[in-house]
Amino acid sequence: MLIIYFLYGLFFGGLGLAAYLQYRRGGDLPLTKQLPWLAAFGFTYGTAGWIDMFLTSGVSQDLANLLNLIRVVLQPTSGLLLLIFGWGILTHLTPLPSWTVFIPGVLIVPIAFAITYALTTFITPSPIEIPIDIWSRYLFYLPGSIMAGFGFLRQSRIQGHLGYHDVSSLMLGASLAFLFEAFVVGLIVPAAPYGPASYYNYNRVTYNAFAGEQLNLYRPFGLTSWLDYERVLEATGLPIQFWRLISAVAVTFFVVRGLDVFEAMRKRRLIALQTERDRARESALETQIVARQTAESWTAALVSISRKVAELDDVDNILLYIVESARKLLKSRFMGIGILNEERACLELKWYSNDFSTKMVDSPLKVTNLLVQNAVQTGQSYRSQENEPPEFLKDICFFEEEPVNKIAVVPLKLDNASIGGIWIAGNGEKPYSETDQIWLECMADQVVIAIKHGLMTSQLQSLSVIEERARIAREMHDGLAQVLGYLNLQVQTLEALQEQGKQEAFLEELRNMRKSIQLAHADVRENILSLRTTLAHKKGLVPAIIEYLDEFSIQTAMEVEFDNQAGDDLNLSSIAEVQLVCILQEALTNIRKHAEASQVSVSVSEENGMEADYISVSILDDGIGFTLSESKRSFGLQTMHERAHSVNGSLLVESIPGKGTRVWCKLPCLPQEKLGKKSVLLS
Amino acid sequence: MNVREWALPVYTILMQLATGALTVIWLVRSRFISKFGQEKIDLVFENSILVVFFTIGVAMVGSHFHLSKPYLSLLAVLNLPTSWLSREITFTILFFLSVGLLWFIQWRKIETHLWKTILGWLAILFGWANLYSMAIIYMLPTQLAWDTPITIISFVCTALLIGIMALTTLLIMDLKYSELRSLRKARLQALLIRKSLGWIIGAACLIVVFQITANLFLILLLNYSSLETARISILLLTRLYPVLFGLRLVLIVGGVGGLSLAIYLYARDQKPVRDLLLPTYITCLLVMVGEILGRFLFYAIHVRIGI
Repeated sequence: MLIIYFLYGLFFGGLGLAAYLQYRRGGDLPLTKQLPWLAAFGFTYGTAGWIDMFLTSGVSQDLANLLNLIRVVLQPTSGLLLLIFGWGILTHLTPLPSWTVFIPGVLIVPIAFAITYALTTFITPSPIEIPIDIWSRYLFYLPGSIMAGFGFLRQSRIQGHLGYHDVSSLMLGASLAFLFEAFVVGLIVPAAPYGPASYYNYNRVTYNAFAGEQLNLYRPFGLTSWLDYERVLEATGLPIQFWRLISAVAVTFFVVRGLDVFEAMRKRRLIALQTERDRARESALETQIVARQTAESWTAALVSISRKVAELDDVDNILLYIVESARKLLKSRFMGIGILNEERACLELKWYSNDFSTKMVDSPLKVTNLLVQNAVQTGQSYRSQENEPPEFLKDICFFEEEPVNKIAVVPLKLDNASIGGIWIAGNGEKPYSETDQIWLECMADQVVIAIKHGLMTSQLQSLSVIEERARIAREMHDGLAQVLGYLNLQVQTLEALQEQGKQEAFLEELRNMRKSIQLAHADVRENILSLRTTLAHKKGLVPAIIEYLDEFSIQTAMEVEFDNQAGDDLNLSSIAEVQLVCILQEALTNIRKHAEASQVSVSVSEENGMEADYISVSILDDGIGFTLSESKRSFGLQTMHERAHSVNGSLLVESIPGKGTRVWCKLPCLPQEKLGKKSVLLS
Repeated sequence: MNVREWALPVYTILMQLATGALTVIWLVRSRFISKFGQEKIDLVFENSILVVFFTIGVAMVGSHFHLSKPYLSLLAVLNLPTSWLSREITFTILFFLSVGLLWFIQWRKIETHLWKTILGWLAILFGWANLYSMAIIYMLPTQLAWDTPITIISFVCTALLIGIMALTTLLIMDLKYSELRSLRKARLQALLIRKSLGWIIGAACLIVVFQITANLFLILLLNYSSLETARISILLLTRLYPVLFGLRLVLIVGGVGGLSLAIYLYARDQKPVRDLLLPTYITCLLVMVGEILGRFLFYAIHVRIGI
């Protein structure tokens, strides 16, 4: 028995020490908060076990009294600590269902009766340590062990669900150990002359506790004398203290192992958290990379658009590039640009891009979708919120039937007035984000800028025409008007000579008049030709130049050669084409007027520069030439230089007196994909 | 006392708890019905009435442990005209049925405002009639310690005191449940508890004073009596059970005082009402133990005259 009590105290003391050390190590597990109670229980209960050992070993009466007194204090204290631990394990580790809040309420009356009954038993003749022992077991150990048992059982189930089967098994073991302890420690009590011990533990005590008189044997429910110290000994051959030792060993083993596993689990969770954090970091990095790539793609697209605008590229090409780029970047099925018609009453689709093509619409298509119309009318951007009725998403994608489930619309504003809208549509789990909308608004800005530049280009062309008219007017004033004035004087001179009868002089003046008329005629025809070539070359630039050179050759009787190595499409911007024609006309006019040439050679070629391609035009004559210093004041040459520079080109004049003159003009090409389409805006 | 004897205090205490709690519920209901409206206030007390109903049921079952032939218990009502025991049993049944009906009306949300109010008061009447019958049963000329009006006063005080304490605990428990379930009535419950707690606890303090006065008066009565039985009762109380008697007084004073202090401190620190659950529960337990101890002493100190 001494050994049993020694081991009993040792195991519970060890349990207390293990719990205390685990508590000192700390941790973020909810169990950690309950460990001080377990440690205190282990120490006090272990101490009580060793006191039993000393009492059994036969100590002096004084020491026995002192030890008994300590035991009387320690036993309910340890029971209370176990009760607190059990309550904590059951309720604090994981939340209980809300209805369990009523359980203490339901139990309050039974508990009150049990406490009252326990209090009344203290006035029985038995020694005080007997009711202390009994009620410590009934009121503290029994519910404490049961709660701890069920608490660990819950933990076992929870850990099992989480997949921690090793932890689950240990928790189950701890649960069973505590329930076993509830049975052998909490339910089997020393002999006492009152219930419930006297009913199911000890029917041998049959006297009235208060009156001291003998009572008849009372057997409520037939539960009498079936579970007491002697029955345990008889049935198992081992005293109850041995079974309590077994419960102590089991509780200590499973709880200590459980604490280790909890620690391992904590580390496992830490590792999992670290892994998750690393994964989150990688994910964030990937997201950043994707975001950066997206931003770079958008930036590249915007830069490209800006460059096209700066290069005075055709506005339709720019807008088609915008719709295609934006549609691809926003991973959409359709993107369109609609412009309000002249009456501003109807929104018409002008440019669009879908999975199959990117085109300019030949005949206007009316945009009837309410979301798009509303955005254009109110000037407010809109994007899907996943709650639009399906009919609101109809008539968005032209040229295809498949429905879409998301849309974003941005109005196009020119000088604070809405001129149309740009919209994207597609299918996807999520609607367009705010970022998508911001990018779309950037694209809308680019569309407006492109349109503005288109309008400015158109105005510049108009200015070129006006300038050309002024030039022709000047030419007529300087040429034809002067000639006509001269002829008027000559006619008067002829009249005078005829009246004077000077036949020889008359004929000479008449020849001069004919020359002047021929010159005037040439000027007029050239101006007519210039006008025709400058104002309209619908057939294309090269055919217009060829036609002009043919006419020039006929009018001036010069032999004109044209060598075109650049092909029919010179890939010049509209404004550059106009300037090229003007430069050519100016140069040929100068040849006709001043060079006295018989042969003119015009060649067109393409040069591939480092930054861009160029069209090089050479105009060579075999005339009398001139010195460049004399030509510095030439208004015509200066104009040609200005025209070339205005379109980022250059002009070089080489002339050798007596050998002829060469004019080199170099104008930058548009990129390869550009074609000389006439803008719907400019039209 | 064995199980058979403990069945009596179980029954009396539970019936007193049920009667006291229902009385307090109906008083609070009457006080605040105009402010909150019938529908809302009935929603607050729905669970409380169920608990009262359940308590009466447990008390009735518990009382059967006192009987030699529990299956013949209903025959006791046959002596209604002459026996207070029959009247007690009859009123117990009527109390049980009326509270059951009251809970059913609440549960099924039957719109009978007037009838529900009348039924509530009727149930309370049955409850108090039951308690009166219960007290009269003990007021036997052969039992000097019981044969005084103090028995009735003591029963009434116990009923009101444990009714108040139990109801307070129950309401806060119900509030916590509502908050855990995020029920809409939680706010109303908290408001009602805040508004009621002051005068409920004031009433409890007053009852404790009455209770102690009645106990002291009984001691004086027995002390100054010339009868031998009275002397024996006093001896039992002062020699055998002085600790229990003192403990009883300490528990009820400590319980009600502790709850008053807790309410004051929580109100001062503006803590949420639900946090009062633990102090309310512990003080309710103390008062209940004190009252059960009182009932134990009530049975323990009586000395029969004659056979």
